[in-house]
Amino acid sequence: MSSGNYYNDETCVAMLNQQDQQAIALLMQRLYPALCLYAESFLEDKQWAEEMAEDAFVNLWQRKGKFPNMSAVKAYLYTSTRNLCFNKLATIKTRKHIQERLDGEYDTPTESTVLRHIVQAEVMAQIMNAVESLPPVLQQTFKMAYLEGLSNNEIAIAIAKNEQVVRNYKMRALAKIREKLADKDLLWLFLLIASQTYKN
Amino acid sequence: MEKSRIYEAMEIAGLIVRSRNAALTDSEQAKLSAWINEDPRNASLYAQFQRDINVHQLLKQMDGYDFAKSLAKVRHRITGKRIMSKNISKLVSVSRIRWMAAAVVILALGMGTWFMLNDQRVSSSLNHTTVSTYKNDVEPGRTGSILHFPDGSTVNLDTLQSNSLNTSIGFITKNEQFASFQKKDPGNSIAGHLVLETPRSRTQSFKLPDGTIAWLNSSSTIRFPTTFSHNVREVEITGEVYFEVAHDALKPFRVKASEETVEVLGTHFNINAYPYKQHQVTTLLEGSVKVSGVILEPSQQFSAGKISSADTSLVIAWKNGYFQFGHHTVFREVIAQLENWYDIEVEYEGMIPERTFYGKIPRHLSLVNTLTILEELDVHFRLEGKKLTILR
Repeated sequence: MSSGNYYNDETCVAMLNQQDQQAIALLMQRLYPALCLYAESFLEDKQWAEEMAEDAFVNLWQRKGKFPNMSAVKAYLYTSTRNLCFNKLATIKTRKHIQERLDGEYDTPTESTVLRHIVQAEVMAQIMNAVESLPPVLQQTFKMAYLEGLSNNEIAIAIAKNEQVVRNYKMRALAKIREKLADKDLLWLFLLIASQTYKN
Repeated sequence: MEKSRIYEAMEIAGLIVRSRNAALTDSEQAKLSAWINEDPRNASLYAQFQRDINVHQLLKQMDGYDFAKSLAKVRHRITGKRIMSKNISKLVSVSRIRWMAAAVVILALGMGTWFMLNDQRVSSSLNHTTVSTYKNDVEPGRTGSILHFPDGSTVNLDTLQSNSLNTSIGFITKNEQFASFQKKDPGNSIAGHLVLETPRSRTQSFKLPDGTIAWLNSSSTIRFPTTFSHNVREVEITGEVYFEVAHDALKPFRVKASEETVEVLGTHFNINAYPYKQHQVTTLLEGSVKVSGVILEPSQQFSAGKISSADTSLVIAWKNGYFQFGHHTVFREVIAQLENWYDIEVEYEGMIPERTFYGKIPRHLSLVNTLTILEELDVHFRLEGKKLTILR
């Protein structure tokens, strides 16, 4: 069941600054996927990416810092993740230099490239968060339609409503996503803790 | 790496997201364009986000990360205790995005985000060995125009040194917003007509004697009297012009274009009378106009005797500094816009691609950066001087 808890960015940061452990869960919910995406841009390995992201959140916690806002938290996480990834790359390089490969595959990325990876991760974070922040009923319909490719008819059957209702849900979901992504405020306004977990 | 550069990157990301879902302010647009122009790889990244399928793929990738496992591990490390799984689900239940194989259902919602309603478009990723070559780059268009006087003399507004010029008939002034002309002698006698012309690669916003502002796209003209008559305001245009007409109930404003004359009282509308458009297209944004005896309502369009509804943001994207292509924009039209704005000649090596394009590109980009973005759509180019060839 949806717990219906809404935490805005300011609250999450305040919780972090007060060393409230719940903050880490909330921050990870928003930032973990994008941070993994960012790490994978360097390491090109899913598992390593997840590990780097975990380490970054642990570092964030252990730093016991006072962050002024969410942007500062993100900047810290991106920096920490990058450093962790570079260390990892150096380790790989050391091992690899024994082999013949000279194609520079594990060369340290330039600052320009690093910044581009941040841009990509941030764009995707916003999009994903917009989808995740949909109210449960709209989110469910949206995901069935766009991510699972179900027709209106199939969705209607699945949620026991008629097709017109399904179309209506879709329209509203798209409008909300668009509204969210058009918002001047780059920070999240709400975190909706979703009720359903979809299992494959 | 400086923190400030990280914040800049985050800001650019925000602009990219917003640009797809709302109109950017002038300064935001300038910032985004500057970033795109900085490096071709930035242009490529921007291009990536113009394609829905790329966004869907990245979302899928993000969904594949094991959030629950990582959260558990992090909590274990920061508390030193094992967290019972039921506590996790009480605090955070994650809805995971799931995909069914390759099926991407695309729907159109006007300007759309990366998820659209209706239209079934299969994005084909062809395996190409064609590669684009760019021998040089071409600057984008900019503000500039030529004012033609009744006696045949001309004044070039972009080379005008100061912000005002005294001529025999009147004063020309220009500022950040627009240029304007004010007749010298205050009497009502009409001293003749002026013609403001934008050559290729130029655009100009201009304030007419009655306060109406006209925005001219490249390769356009507007012919207007030095003073309007007492009962009507009449102008004549070629090319593409967007108007914000000053309200005057006593004097209707009439625009004569290639096919129809448009009559207005006080309103915002766009007329596209370019040759590349088969017929003149008149689009109303605000207010009310009468064209060919038909009264248009906001967001309506008149062309070749028919009314239809218009995506107004698409129609005046040029005025707001963008190329914007919608679901019905054919390749030929994309090219026509590029030809006008960059002042280039275009040739086709093979068939004209039969594709529609969807996307938004800032107009301030250099030609190579714009083409890099269009390459995302599986089109390849050769640029030499001012000649652009669309490769097979």
